[in-house]
Amino acid sequence: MRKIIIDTDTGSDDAIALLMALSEKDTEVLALTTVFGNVNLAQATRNALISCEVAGVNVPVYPGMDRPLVRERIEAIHVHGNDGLGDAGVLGPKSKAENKHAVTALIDIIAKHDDIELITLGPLTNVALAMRKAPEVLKRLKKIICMGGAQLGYAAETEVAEFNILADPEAAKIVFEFGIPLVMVPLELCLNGDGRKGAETMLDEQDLNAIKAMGTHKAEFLLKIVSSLLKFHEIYYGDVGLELPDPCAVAVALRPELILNAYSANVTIDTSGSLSYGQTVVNTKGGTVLEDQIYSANVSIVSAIDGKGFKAMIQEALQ
Amino acid sequence: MNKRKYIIDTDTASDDAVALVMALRSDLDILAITCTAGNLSLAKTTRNARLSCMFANTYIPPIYAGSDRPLVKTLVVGENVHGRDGLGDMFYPEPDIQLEKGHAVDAMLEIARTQDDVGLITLGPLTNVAMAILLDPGAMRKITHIIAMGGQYRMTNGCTANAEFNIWVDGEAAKIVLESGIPITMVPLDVCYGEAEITAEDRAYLKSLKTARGDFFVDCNRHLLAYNQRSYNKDIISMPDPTAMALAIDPSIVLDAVDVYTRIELRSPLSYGQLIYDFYGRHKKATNVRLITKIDAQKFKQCVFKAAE
Repeated sequence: MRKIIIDTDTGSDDAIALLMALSEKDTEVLALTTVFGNVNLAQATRNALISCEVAGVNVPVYPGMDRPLVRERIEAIHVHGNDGLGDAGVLGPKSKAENKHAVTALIDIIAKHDDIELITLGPLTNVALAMRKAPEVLKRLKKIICMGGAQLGYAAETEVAEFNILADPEAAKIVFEFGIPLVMVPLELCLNGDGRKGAETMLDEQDLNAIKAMGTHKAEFLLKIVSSLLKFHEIYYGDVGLELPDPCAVAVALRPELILNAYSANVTIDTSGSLSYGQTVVNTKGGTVLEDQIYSANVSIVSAIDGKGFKAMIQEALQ
Repeated sequence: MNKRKYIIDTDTASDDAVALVMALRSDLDILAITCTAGNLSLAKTTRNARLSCMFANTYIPPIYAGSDRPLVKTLVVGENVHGRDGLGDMFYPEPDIQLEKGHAVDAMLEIARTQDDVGLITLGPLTNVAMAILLDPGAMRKITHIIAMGGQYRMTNGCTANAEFNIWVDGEAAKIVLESGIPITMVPLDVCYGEAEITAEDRAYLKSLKTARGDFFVDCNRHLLAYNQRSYNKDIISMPDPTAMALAIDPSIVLDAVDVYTRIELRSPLSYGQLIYDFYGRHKKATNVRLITKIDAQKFKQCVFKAAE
């Protein structure tokens, strides 16, 4: 039985990721911790509770940080809608969040259970604070799987920075340098990974029609909440497509057999650039003129996952 | 038809040398060679520029010494890549060609002020060019265009993770050039690998020509070959400067390019020297760089071979 905690800024693709995790067999979701990010904390918390209700699973939801450690707060409502769920009029939730702060909950739960895997789908503010507050406890984590960052040439929020990292680069720096096994799920995975055959994870019109044909309430929920994502894609690409980064992270965490390629690298977070602030800087061994640079890998980067398997996992979660 | 006029600015080491020979044996009219520190110290790059002209065995343009260090940064050289003499440690004898008196920057400005239709090909850090722009921006804006070997846009870990050597050695100079208003064509490291790699077969062909130039092309790149072998585990040499030069000689080598608003990161110790490309036009600013994204590798190699024959 895999034991996981998911830290989320519950926007639309986060919600789908939560449905996947909450329905995955041999997986116990011990808690959800919410953070500002795609939307403000209150909205993220609300959407996490709604996702649990749609999944039909009771999992405690702990609200966390409503602001980044240092920088000013940014959000992504232009991508996910004001309510983070496509402004499609999703109602609820009926349930309530816990009273405990997410950072406290992370520390308490990780102290109590062995072999927890932490999946992060939003800015890393909660996790960074927990690491600073109780480092010996957080070192008990088996691994962290982070949806965040992007390879050179693929970043989206600025030319070189992906949203989760950009929203709190100082927190990301703390988490990436903490020293426990970290698997990075970069943004380009939600398109076609490293471009190899079979790595296309973006849902096309055909995939969406297949989901529509399912007719379940979970399938309907998904189609409702992705309206902003679809609109956003249409503006940039002029066609129908759905990129789902957070579901990719859940797939990497819970079905690692879907990974087509991963490699070790030294990843540092740029917290000082005027233009490169928030960039994940990936150093790989070799190929550098500065050959006497000391190199040590600290992160495993997943560069491609199996597209068909990924889409099948989504459909299973919507039954 | 009038020959196309160019100034070449170079930090002459192994692949620069090949590019210089290509230029002098082509139908380009090279008005001057201006040298800068970069791959090596200025003393070594000027020597290698003179040697290259000797090997080219056509005409000798005036050769000038310029900046011996970047505008602001401390100089970091690439002797581990090119050899201590910068030419594969072949230690060729002193060439019988003299440097001109006067600073490369003054020479560049004099040409820019007094002649029209002059282009600039840069094979090294942009220190000389930036200084010229600062001293007389009006004159430098008469330069028709700059073809620059520099930068990387998807390829990583060429020099630092995200910055290529020429730009990284003097990022401040690159910023000045990017903002100068002079049209820039950038040949990134990305297109200098892949099919453009000079294979063992290519090197055997160059040697089979039994010309002094063919031998020079292979021999002076010995260290660059070893560097590529240990960095990429492949028996190839990538020749970035000849790639940029080939574009000037035969513009039809370009198969694809994108016009993009380009800036440079200078504050971050991790990302210093990284070129930041606004591919999606988010900033709605006028584009300042034509980034070459695909070249005809066969035509490029033909251009190299032709100069050795």
